[in-house]
Amino acid sequence: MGLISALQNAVSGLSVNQSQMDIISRNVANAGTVGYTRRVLNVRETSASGITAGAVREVEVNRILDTLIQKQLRAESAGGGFSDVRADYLQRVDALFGQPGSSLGVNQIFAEFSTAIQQLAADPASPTTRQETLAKASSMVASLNNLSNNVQLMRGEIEARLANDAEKVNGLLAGIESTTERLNQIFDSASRVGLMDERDRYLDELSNYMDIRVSDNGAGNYNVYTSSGAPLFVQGRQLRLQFDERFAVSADSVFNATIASSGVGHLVIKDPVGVASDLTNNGSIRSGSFAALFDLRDRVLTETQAQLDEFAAALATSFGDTTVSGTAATVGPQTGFDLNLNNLQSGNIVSLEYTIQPAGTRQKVSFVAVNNPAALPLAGGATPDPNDLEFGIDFSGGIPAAITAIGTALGAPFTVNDLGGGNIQILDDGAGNTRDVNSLSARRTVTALANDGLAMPFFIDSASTNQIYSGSFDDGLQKRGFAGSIRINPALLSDPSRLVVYDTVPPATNSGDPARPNFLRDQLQSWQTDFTPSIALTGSTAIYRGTAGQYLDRVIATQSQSSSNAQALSEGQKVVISTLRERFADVSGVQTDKELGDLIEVQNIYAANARLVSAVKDMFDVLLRI
Amino acid sequence: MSDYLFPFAAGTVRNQQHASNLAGLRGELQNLQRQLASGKKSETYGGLGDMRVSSLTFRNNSGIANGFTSIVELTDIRLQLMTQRAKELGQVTETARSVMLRTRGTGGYPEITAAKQQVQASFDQMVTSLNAQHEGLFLFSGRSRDTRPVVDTNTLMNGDGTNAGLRQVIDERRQADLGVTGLGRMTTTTVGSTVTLSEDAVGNPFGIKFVAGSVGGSMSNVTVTGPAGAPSALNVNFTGLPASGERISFSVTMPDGRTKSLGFAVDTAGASDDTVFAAGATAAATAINLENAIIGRLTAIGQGELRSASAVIGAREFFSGTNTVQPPRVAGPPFNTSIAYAAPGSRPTVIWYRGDDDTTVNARNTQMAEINENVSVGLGARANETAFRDSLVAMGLFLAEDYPPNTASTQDRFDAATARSIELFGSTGGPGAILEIDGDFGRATSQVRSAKTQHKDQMQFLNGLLAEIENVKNEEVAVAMVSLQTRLEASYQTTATLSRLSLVNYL
Repeated sequence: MGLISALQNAVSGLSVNQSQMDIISRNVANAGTVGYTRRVLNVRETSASGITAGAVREVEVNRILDTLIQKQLRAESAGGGFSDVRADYLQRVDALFGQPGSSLGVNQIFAEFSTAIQQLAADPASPTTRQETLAKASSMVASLNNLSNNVQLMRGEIEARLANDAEKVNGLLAGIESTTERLNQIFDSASRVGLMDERDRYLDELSNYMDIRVSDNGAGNYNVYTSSGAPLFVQGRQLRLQFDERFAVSADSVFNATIASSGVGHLVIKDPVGVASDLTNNGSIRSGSFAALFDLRDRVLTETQAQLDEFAAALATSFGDTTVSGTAATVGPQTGFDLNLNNLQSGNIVSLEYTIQPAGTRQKVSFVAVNNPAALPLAGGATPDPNDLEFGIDFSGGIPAAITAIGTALGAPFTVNDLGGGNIQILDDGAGNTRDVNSLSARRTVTALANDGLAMPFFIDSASTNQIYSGSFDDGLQKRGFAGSIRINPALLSDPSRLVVYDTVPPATNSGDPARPNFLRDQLQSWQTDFTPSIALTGSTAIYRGTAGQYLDRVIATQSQSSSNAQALSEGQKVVISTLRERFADVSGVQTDKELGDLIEVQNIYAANARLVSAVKDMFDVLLRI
Repeated sequence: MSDYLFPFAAGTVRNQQHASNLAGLRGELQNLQRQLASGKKSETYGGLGDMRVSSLTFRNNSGIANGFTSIVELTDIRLQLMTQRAKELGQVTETARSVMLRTRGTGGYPEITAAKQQVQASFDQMVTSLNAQHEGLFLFSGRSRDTRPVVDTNTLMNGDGTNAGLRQVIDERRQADLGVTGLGRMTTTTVGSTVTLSEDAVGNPFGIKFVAGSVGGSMSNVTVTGPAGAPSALNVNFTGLPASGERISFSVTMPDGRTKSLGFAVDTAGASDDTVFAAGATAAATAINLENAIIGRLTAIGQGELRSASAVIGAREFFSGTNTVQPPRVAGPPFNTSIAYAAPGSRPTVIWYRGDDDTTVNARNTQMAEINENVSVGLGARANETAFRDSLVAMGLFLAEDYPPNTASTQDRFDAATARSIELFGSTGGPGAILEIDGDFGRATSQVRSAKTQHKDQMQFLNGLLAEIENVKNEEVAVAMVSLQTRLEASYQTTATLSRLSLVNYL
């Protein structure tokens, strides 16, 4: 106790004041720096007995940080990244369908095509009407192709973006590694807080890409995992993301859990010794832009494509398929049907309906024709009906072999006979009365423009070798990507009279015969077909039954609905994040007014300390003058 | 990555958010501006909100109504065209008929020649009209609209060298009907005091035929039996002499189906149009007299009435030919002894009508326009519809006849031919019958017109609904813009004021 200690206290105060000035100036200077948290200087009274007791000393520079809000913000920014990316792409899908009422919208183009067919039926002989029909059909097809291409372009773009983002994330992980390394070497608290801010910044940015979980290993070192537990940065070692980008993305490029047979890239994380784990689509990444991109690429846009394909297929088959009906047959006590199986194309379906007696349960069996034994067995869902029994039947070995295969598939107690000439007979068990055959029919794809009834191959599949669209399963799914490869039959374009003339064998169809145009009109406007439920229109699992036009409307409504949903979700997420950011800013943000207030205080204390020093000096002077 | 995400500058985040709010307001203002300019609420279906499904449905319905409207308009034009053509055809037949009527009974050769020329012109005109086109497609050929329905008149009348024309067909038929003796394929014999008048062969489709049970009148001492037997024969047996003024009669059918009553009276015809024969000295002599009277009467018929009857049936047969039906032709030559038709197609004939002739389809229904859901109007026509065909038959039979000058029977031929023609013009052919076709088109037109109104109303209604959903109301947007502007201005002002409020400015 004494003047000396007072002097020491005042001098320590002066030195702390200078450090405080330093901190205030740092805060003010970094008020607008990204990731900067407000700093405060922790000071403490020196408490040791002796000369230095009662002085003030700097303990450390601290960050003002609410880790709870930080954690919340990271979780929400992953959600933000997810909803933002999703909304962005879905909005583009929505825009693809055109402005309501615009003549460029696909539904409007379809309506015009339908009108043209209507006109053709009213005036079949007119070359103008025929050309008009083909012109409208061309723009219909072009519009479908364009939609399909755009969807695939978006998937391709997503693929590229995933590769790019994987590199960015690697950069962030490298940043986390280097800051962690330096943190382990530097112990000066003022420098450390800067490094910690930097490391947090990397983590914050990382949280936009994926949902992360950060755990402190106790020594101030972080381990970073995805929220599902896949490691990203463990024990000071970053893992590297690898994305095997596929450059040509088409409708056929679909995700497969096996990397080698996948049509699109997988995101894999590799640790330094080369052990890799797959992060794609197995729930490892649940949120963030990565999750959104995977969801868009492998589910949303694939579904959009499937819906377009379904529409294109309905269009092609409504004009191109004809129903082959069975004729009732009775052999002794057994009853059933005969059906001609000639000219069935791969993908055509023979439907058998029977009742199980005495329960009266009805059962539908679908025999799907294939022309390639390698296509068997078929995956489920070959037909739109989820309740039917499906059997793939190989027709490549001729119809007798196919009939044998149908018999084997159907089994007892049915009797399946080959009547020769391509005719099959399916009979019930007669006196046993456990089965009643109700109907037997087939849908057959017509391959010629004339002399095979009213149906015609109006549309073809440019991607298929024989150009005929029949929903074949021979070489993958023919339906997949059909919206992109549907074309108007070139033979029809070069001979529009085939729109009317369906029979060239004399007496050939008259040029004004409305039979085929009427058929086309009725098929287009009122023929209802089943649409695959798995493509999730408005989440329904029931079969959607309707005309191609109604289906198209449903597709547009569903797509634009999900776009506006995503939009609303994204906006909601923005509000959440904004609120959190403000709360975060309240705690960690630099408020200039507050800093300036502190500055005045520091200035005052500095003046007081200086005054103390000068008082001590005065007192010493008095003492020395005695 | 968007600017609102993590990480961010915590110190300036409030200002940033303020600025982005301002930018948001500005964006809203720009959106309203766009709405005002385009008149549309949204650029995408997504932006229409819950009304998007309604919008799509209404658009669909309006597309259908639009389709019907364009069909209705096209159909209206085509129906007008058909109506006009039908009227034209009616007028042509009207002209031909009045020429015939005017010339009948005037007797002069120059008048007959002039009439023939005028009817020829009408015939040509009729063929031209039946070959009328619209947009390069024929109106009167049923469904085969790219086929010219009627051959040119020269080929039609005179044939083309290989195929026989109308003249030849009628001529052959005439020969077949007349027979070698000129009695219309009847034969007469008198054995003792019995006169027998008989058809010449069983099943002969040509010539004059008896009407069974048509014997009328009676004569004393005369027994009439028949007509009966195969071939059908009528026997008149004189057991004595008939009294003067007594008559018998019987009816015959002409080849064209008309019946004619032939009466024979002793010595005096009385009031009826009978052929008179004298009672002879004996029954046998009287029989001879009757036979001669019958021969005389049949010969006269053969030169007059039968000619035109043959012409009618010949023309009908010729005009019954189509792509799928070969016209019946007399087997031969020789034709005057022919007792059967030739096998169809074995004697080539000009097929005058080349269009579609599917008899299962009504001519009107060969062109159908669906003008409303499940409502169709027929606007097709065929040149071989009865009204047109019989008009052509009427003119054709007249034109196929020769009217040689300086021949006494010319006037008779003219009168006989025109009588048949005029009768046809008044029944199944001619202006009246064509008017009925015109009436079909008229009915269709009125149906089309009412459908037109209906579709227009429907479109208007749907467009109204769509406007309600898709279009903005200018007043609403203007009000929204004004209020937004006020908010924006106030925000700018407060932002400016607040930004000046900093301790920095007061130190």
